[in-house]
Amino acid sequence: MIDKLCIHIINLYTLIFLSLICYSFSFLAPPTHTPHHTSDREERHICFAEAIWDGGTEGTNTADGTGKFFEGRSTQVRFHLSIHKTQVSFLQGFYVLWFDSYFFSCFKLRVLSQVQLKRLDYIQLRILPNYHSYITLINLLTIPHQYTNPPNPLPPNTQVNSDRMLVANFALRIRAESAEATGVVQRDDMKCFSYDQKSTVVHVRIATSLISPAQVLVNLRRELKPQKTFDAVALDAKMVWNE
Amino acid sequence: MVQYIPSIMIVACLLVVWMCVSVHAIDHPEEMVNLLAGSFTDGDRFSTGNTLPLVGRPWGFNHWAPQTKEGNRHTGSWWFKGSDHQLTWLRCTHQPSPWIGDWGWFLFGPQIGPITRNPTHFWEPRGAVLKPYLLDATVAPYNIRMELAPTDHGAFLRVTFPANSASGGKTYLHDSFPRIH
Repeated sequence: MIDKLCIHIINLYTLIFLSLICYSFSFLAPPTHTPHHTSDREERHICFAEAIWDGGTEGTNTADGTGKFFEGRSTQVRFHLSIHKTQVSFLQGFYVLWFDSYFFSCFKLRVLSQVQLKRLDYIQLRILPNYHSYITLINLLTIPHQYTNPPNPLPPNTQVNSDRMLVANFALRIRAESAEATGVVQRDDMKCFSYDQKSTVVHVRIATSLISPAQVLVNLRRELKPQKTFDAVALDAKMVWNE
Repeated sequence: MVQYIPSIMIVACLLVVWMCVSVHAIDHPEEMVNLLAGSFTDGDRFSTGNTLPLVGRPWGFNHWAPQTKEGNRHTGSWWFKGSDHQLTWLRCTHQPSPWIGDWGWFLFGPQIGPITRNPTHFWEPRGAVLKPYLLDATVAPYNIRMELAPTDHGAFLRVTFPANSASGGKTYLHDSFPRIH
């Protein structure tokens, strides 16, 4: 009985020993996945982030007819707008608008009393417009045209209206062109130029404008002509500073 | 004594002429600018000026700078430090000071591999060329060179990817700063 038990124990230890040896040798086997040799490591991109690309366009009509381009806009545009309190006669109180600059944050709206309003000479609106917040702001500022109850003691406000609001559709427009790009990929708030895996030297021409997408294109064509090389642009910038 | 006055005046005039001739005008003052000056603030411990290495043109529409912090909604305005060895993005900025904050910014930069929202390159800022007219940095681990020259309303970016990153193209930090300026 004891002999059989000893044999079983010895067999068990032998099995464990052999298993450990096999496990040890498994480390010597060639790896099945080498991270830096996989094809996805070869993907080459130049990405743009923290802007809105949905409203933009993309295509292949760069200046020389090759490559790709896309457009977008950076909406983190901030204004400090001071308005005299007589110019906001339509408001019973003092609306303090506070916007977060991020897309998914809520904004806070605070209404001050008339007493508090009288203590102030100017109302300063700090505006960080994005898709939703500037629309909200414009709606508030157009209240005087509809406000009748109770009667407004002051004449209708003519100083502030949505037509004169610079923040309407205000954004930093962006256009990026790359003659060597083979595609455009969008991922969340990123938009990327894709390049061939064997690409080495690639160029991206970037232009901006606060006016319109058409103006961005004008700026791009004027400042970064297709025949103008990178070295020429760098030398131009250098000589401007030199002067 | 009076008879020596003309001689003294002649010597003085010659000395002035010699000084004018020997003191050369600086041909390229733009090369003497160190954009990293003032950018080594370390949190609450000390401040060296809170400046940014802004590349742009005089009265330019935008400024361009490297970003050393992750670019996301929590980054805030402290997105660059001159002693950081991590480079995440290049940034179009309008930030005059971290205390005022940025507006109208966007990020861009090269990547190798799957597209990521938080690219991480490694660099030595003092080994890069950071001049008012040029940003030229070579970053590890993939030995990507990025050069940026500003225009009035934009910028020209030239990126040099490694010739063959898959077969041993990976480099290390010390390979990416061949020059110390």
